[in-house]
Amino acid sequence: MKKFISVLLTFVVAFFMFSLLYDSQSFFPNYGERDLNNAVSQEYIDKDTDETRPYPETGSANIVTSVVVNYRGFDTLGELTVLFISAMGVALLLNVGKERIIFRVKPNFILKAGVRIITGIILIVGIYIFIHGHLTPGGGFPGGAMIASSVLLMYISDDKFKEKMNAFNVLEGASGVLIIVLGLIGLFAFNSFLYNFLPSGEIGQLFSAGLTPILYVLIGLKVGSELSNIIGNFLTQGGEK
Amino acid sequence: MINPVLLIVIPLLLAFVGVMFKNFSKSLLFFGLVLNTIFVFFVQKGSYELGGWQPPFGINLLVDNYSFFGIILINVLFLVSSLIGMKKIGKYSLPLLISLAGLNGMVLTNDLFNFYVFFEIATISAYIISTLHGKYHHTFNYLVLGSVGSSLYLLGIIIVYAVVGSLNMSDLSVHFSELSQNIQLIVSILIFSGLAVEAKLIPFNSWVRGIYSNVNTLTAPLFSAVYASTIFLVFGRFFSNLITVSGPLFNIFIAITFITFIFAETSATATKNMREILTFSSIGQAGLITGLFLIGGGYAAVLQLINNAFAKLVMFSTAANVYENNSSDSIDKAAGIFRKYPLVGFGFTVSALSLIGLPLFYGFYAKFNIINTAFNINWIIPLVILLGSLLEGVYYIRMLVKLWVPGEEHEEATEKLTTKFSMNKLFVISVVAVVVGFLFIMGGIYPELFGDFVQNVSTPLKESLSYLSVGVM
Repeated sequence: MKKFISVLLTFVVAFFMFSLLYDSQSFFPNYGERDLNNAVSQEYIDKDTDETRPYPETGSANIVTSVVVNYRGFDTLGELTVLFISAMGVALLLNVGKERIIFRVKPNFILKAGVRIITGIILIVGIYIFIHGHLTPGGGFPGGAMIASSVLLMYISDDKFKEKMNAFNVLEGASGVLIIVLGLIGLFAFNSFLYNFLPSGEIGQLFSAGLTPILYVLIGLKVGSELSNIIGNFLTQGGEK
Repeated sequence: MINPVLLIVIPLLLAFVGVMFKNFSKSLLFFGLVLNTIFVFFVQKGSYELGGWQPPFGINLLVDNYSFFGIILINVLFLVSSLIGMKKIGKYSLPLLISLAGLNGMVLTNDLFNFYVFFEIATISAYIISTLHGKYHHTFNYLVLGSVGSSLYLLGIIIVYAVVGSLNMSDLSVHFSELSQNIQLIVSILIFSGLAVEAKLIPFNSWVRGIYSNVNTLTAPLFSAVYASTIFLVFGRFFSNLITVSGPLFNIFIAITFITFIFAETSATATKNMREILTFSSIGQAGLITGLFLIGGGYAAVLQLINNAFAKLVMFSTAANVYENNSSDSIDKAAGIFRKYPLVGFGFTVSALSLIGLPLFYGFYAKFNIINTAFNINWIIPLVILLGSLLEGVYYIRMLVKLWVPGEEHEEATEKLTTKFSMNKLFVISVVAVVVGFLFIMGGIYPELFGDFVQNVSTPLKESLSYLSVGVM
C-alpha cells in the first residue's frame, strides 16, 4: 500500500509539473530553443563580460572550466567543502579503526600483478584529466574520482596499503589550504576573493588561463584524496571507540 | 573594513588546517569563532564581488541591514552556543567550523545556486552534529527529509534559471512578477517546500521531534537558536524580497504556517518533558515567524525572531543540562530545581515569560506588533495568534510553577522538599541566562531601544533587491 501511494504521489507531482510547464502560455522554453540573448550564458560564450580587467577572460579553451573555476569559482570551493564535510562525516560516524576488512577471497598473485599495471595507467589518465581541465573536457572532479578508483584497487590488492594512507589527510588539508590561500592573495591584492591574477596566455597552451589550471590541479588532488579517504574508511573496521 | 567573504573563508581555512593537525582542532575552532565574532562588527554594507566578476556573471555577497543583522546574530549566538556546550564538542570541532561557514554563506550570498551550496554545507554539518546524541535513526530520518527538501529547492532554481537566464537573486526579485503565472506557481511551491523542511513547517517536519527532543547542551542552543534563526532569516529574504505569492497559493501557505503554529502549541500542552515542550514550542514559533514574513510583517517577524532566538538559547540549554545530569527531564520529577539554581531559574523564567509575551518583557512589545500587523490583513489571523499565545501561556506557566515550587500539590512548599535533581554548575549558562534575562527586561521597559534598530533591519525586506547598475541585463 505504501509503495502504491508513493508511486501515485510521484505521478501526481510529475503530472502537475508537466502540465504547468508544458503550456504555450508558460514561456518555459522547449529543449534547445532557449533564446540566450538575455541570459548570462551568452556572455560566458562571448567572453565579454568585463573588458576593463587587466587579463580578460580569454585563456581557457574549455568554456565549462571557465564557468566552473573562474566565473563561479566560489561555488566550486563550496562543492569541495560539501565533499569534505561528507568525508569527515563518514570518518566520524564509522568510528574508523586500524583493521582492514578481510575479504573472503584472498588477493592472489594475478590480482596483485594486474593491479600494479592498471593503477599506474589509471593514475596517469586521472592526472592528465585534471591538468588539462582547461583545454579538454574533464577537470578536477572526474580526475580526482579516477585517482580514488586507483586507490580502491590498491586497497583491495595490498594488505599493508592502509599504513601509507595517512598521507591523504595531509594532501586533503594542504590542497584545501592552498586553494584558499590563492583566493586570499586575490582578495588582498585585487580586492576580490579568487581573483584570476595570473596572465591568461594563449588559448590552447598548457600554461594559459591564468590561475584556472593551478586551481584545477589542487581541486583534483583534493577530490582524489577526499574520495580515497572515504574508501579507506569504508574498508576498515573495529578499532577503539 | 573587513570583506564579508572572510567570515566564510576563515572557518573553512581553519577546518582544512584542522584536518592536518587534529590535536589542535578545538583551539582552531575557538580561534575561528572569536575571530569571526570580532570581524563581524567591522563589515561594511555593500555588494562584494567574488573573483572580480560583476553580478550577475559572477557571484556576489550582499550586505544590507538585514544580512548584516543576520551575520551578527549567527556569529554571536554560535560562539555562545559553543561555549555552553564546550564539554560536548569532542571530535566535532571541524564540522562545527564548517557549519559556521555554511550558515554565514546562506545569509550573505546573493546568488541562488551559491545559496544552495551553502544550504547543503550547513545541513550536512547539521546531520553530522545531530549524531552527537547517538540516536542515528533520527539523524537518518532528518537526512532523508533534508535531502528531499534541498532537491526540491534545486529543482525550483533550475526552472528559474531556464526562464530568467540568471541565478542572481536581485535579477529574480526584479523579474519574478514578469514571469508567467504557471512558472510563478511552480517556483514558489518548490522553493517554499524546500525551505519548509528546515523551517519546520507542518507536512515537512517529522524529523524535528527526533532531533530536537534528544539534544544535548551543545546541539540544543545550536539548533534551536542558530540554525532556526538562520533559516527564518533566509525564509524572510526569499518570501519578502524575491518571491511574491498571491491568490489561493498565498492562502494555502498562510494556512500551512498558522496550522503549524496552532497544532504545535496544542501538542506542547500534552507533554511533560521539558525538551519535548520546547521542541513543540520551537515548531510553533517557526510557524508564527514564517507566517508573519509571508503576510509582509517583516518588522514584527524580526522582533519575534530575536525573542525566540535568545529565549530558546537559554531555555533549551537549561533543559539539556537538566537532562544530562539526571538522564530525565520530566517536569514532575524536576519540581523545585530552580530553588537550587536561582540565577539560571531567573533567566529561564524571564525567557519563558518574554516568549509568551507578557507585559514588562521584551516579548510583549513583539507580540503587540505582531497582533497589530496581523490586524492589517484580516481578523482571523490575530485571533489565531492570540489563541496560540494563550496555549503557550498555559503550558509555560504550568512548567514554571512546577520548576520553582517543590513538593506535591496542596503540600506546603519548603526547601526541604527540593528534588534530588541537579545541574552542572556551568558558569556560562548562568551568565548567559542572567544577561539574556536583563536584556529582555530592558527591552520590555524601553522598547524604543530595540525598536529603531529592528526597524532598520527590516526595511530592506520591503524593497526588491535592485542595486545592479542599469543595462547589465
